[in-house]
Amino acid sequence: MEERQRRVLESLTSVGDGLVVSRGATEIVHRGSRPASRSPGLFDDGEVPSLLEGPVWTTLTTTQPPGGADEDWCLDLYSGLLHHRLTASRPRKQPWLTSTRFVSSVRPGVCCLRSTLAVSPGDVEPALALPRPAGSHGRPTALARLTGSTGVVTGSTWSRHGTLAAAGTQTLVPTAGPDPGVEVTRLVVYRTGPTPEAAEHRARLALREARAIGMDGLLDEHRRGWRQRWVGADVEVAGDPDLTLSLRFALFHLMSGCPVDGRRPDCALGARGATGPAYHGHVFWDTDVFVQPALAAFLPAAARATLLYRYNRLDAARRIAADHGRRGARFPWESAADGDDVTPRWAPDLHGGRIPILTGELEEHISADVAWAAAHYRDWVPDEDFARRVAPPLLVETARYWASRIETGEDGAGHISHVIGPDEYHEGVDDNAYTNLMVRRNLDLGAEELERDPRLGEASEAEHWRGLARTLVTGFRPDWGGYEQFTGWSELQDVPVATLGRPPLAADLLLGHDQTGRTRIIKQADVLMAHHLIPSELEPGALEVDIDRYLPYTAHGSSLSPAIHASVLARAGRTDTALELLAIAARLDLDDITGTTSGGLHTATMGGLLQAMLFGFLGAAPRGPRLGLEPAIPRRWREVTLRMRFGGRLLALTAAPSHLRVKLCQGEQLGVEVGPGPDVTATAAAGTILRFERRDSTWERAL
Amino acid sequence: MTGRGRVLACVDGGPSTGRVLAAARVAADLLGADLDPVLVVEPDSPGPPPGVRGIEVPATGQESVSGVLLDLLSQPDVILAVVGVRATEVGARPAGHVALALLEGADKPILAVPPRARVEITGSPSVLVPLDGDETTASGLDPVLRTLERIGARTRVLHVLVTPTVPPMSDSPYDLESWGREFADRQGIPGSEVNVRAGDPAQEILSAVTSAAGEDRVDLITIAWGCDLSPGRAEVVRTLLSASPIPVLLVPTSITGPESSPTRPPGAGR
Repeated sequence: MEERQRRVLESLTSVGDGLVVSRGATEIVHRGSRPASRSPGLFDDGEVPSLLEGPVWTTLTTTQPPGGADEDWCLDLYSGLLHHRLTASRPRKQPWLTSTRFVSSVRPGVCCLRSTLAVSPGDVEPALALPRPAGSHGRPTALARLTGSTGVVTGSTWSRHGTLAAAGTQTLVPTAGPDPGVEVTRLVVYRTGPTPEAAEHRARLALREARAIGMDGLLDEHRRGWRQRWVGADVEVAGDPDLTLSLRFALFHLMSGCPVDGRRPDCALGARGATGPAYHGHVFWDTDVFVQPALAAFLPAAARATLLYRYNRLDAARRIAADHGRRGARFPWESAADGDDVTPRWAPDLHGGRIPILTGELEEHISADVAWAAAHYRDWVPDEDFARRVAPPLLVETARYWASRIETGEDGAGHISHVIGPDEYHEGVDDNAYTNLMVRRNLDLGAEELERDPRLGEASEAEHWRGLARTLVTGFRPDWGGYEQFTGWSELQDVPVATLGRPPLAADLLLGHDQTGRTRIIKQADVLMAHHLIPSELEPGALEVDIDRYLPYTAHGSSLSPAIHASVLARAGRTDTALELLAIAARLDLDDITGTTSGGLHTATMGGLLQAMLFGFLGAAPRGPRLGLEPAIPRRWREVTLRMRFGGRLLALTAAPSHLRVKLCQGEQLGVEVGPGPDVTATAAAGTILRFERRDSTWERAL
Repeated sequence: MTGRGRVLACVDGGPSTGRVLAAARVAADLLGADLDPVLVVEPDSPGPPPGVRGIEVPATGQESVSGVLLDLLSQPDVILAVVGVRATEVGARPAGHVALALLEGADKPILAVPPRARVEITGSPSVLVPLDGDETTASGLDPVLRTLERIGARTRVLHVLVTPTVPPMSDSPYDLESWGREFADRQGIPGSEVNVRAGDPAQEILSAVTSAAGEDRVDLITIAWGCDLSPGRAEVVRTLLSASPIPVLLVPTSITGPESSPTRPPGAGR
């Protein structure tokens, strides 16, 4: 391990369970290390609220290996185990520390560590340490306390939003031999609660239960838990082991960072999850349209928790809409605990001044993204309570917002002016195609709900929304056969991104913020993002046209961009280019391409990567109660196999360039449509395999 | 001799003498060292200010003045030398020949006091550390930074983006905060405030100094360099010596060329 990689590795090897996520720092105190444990969704009281850092359970000693150490880190994705091995170089090359740790896959908040290290028992730290003061990064230090009695150490940090408490214990057994050495078995349990007393009490009770099971028992059930997780969610690309590793890495961290069993019903993964401090744990549209669709297919309970996060903050969204003089609900661009907008208002610019951050004020499409996410989950997961109770207000209140936001112009058409689309290089634009297309869909979804349930609003309101949806400008240019990203985009300076270098590149840093805005260069998928999310809403044939138009101007200056492009390019049959972009998304964190992985893993990229496989290369989409599949598998892949869920069933999909197998592993029979239309359909019964073959460009059922 | 270490203040009685002595006094106080004036005596020089005594180095001696100064600097108890640099156009020699030889020949830090430098410090010093992304160069700063940390100095890292160090992605305007933090961590200066800028590196450094005021003021620039002021080299140092409004601590590294200094900023690991 190179020293420069330390903090990146700490992010990459985080382990967690949705209640607590701990970075993979080694067990010795190191100047460059950033050990931390955080609970997704629990924030501090900072001016810009950040995820609360809880007591640290992973530090064993401040003693350093003599002469330094070679470090080997190994994260076992299959079993959810993190291993460290430190080999000292003096007085002779010999093991100095070996450790195995895990956060239980079946008992929330239960953290286990077993280690052998070459120090005296007196050099081993207590089971818990409190986080170092975070003031160096401008955040207030959390309130904290650490107490111990009868072999149990209890610690907690807290804010007005709640407490993250831990109770821990450990046993020390001197090792045999002439040199000092000790085997440490450490058990720590985290709990959240309204007060330190309550949370610590819960932690102590849960610790007692865990101690009764013992380390070996906990390890056994943890392994079984992970084995079960991989039975329900997996991706393998035969012929590309590196890509397979990246895909499983993404799945692993989604399963580690989210409450997979629904025990935390309201929890949305922030832009970096809880694996690092970047973005403060804030929730963006990343959660709704990048992470949530992947969760719906692989971890439906976590997808539900994501949407309940929105549902439970509808009142805050209503307040934000009212503050803007609108009706309905407007979701904030960045949110934390209570659903208020926590987008910072400015950032240092590159010349010693300050630059206003306008996304909080102008990147309004997030409200339509939330609505889309609710509809997507409803179509993908049979969840009656969600469909009846949660989805309707999300769809109706957001539609109501847009109805009050759209202006009817002198041309008689509906317009949405002064927004930022996904391409954040252009601010304050009019009629952003992505925004308007998503809003059109939102209005129709809202109207459907109103028509279904009169208690949600007047029938005339639904009619009004339908009318607005019909007249809303979408940016479609008949002369192009595609969409203009916003009014006037084509009149900007014609600067292909290749003139700056080879993407990905941060064009705004190279050209400057203002100059970038004067060019056609775009940051990430914008019109193509609409093609990705709502393909049936766009004109036939426009995908090809828009790929050709926008790809030469796309900088991929956002980590959100490559995976989505890979997805739409695969759907368009351009698999070579799709694979190039997929490779960037696949390696984004593993190779620290952005230089910011030390601050946490890019959850949207992980979600986007899995979406690219599911929606792009397999062409999966709900078609009513049936699952539609339209595979576009590159020749260089032998086969792709996904184990995922749709309609409450567990499926194994195996696709190759010329064939497709659908195995229904669990659940009642399921209808499957293969290809662009309903011509090739079949019904899978439990345990059966449906086979399809591709002949020329059409699919047919095979025996 | 007190065993505390010595700070040499190299003066010749010229216009910079007062500032050099003042800067050396501040440095010695902060470091807990003794101040040792070194008086370069030229035949027509005005001589030292009243009351200043120290080692006299005659400019007409058999040995070169710079040779004598470098010998003095190499003594084990000498931890720092302070010299004045004269006002010259950028591109010409930024210092007199004695100061130049000292700067280029020293294997210890030299505190250079530019012509219009402010030297007074109230409270803990605030230090600007410009870094170019070269981790090997930065590692040369490590002992100095530890000393600064020991005396309670506040360090602020400044990195001016140049094409090879521009991150390939920047998700939001405040993504640079995270990138900059990791940048500083990799340069061995964790926990510092980090400013990332774009433009001409020397001008951005000067701008960072002149725009800082009050609690954000900067008292000292600390920069690692390859000890080579020949034409076309060390343009940033050259500009700072000429135009910096505060003293510049030059820390020599063994790095002399790009082939021995692999630049690998965060995100360049592909």
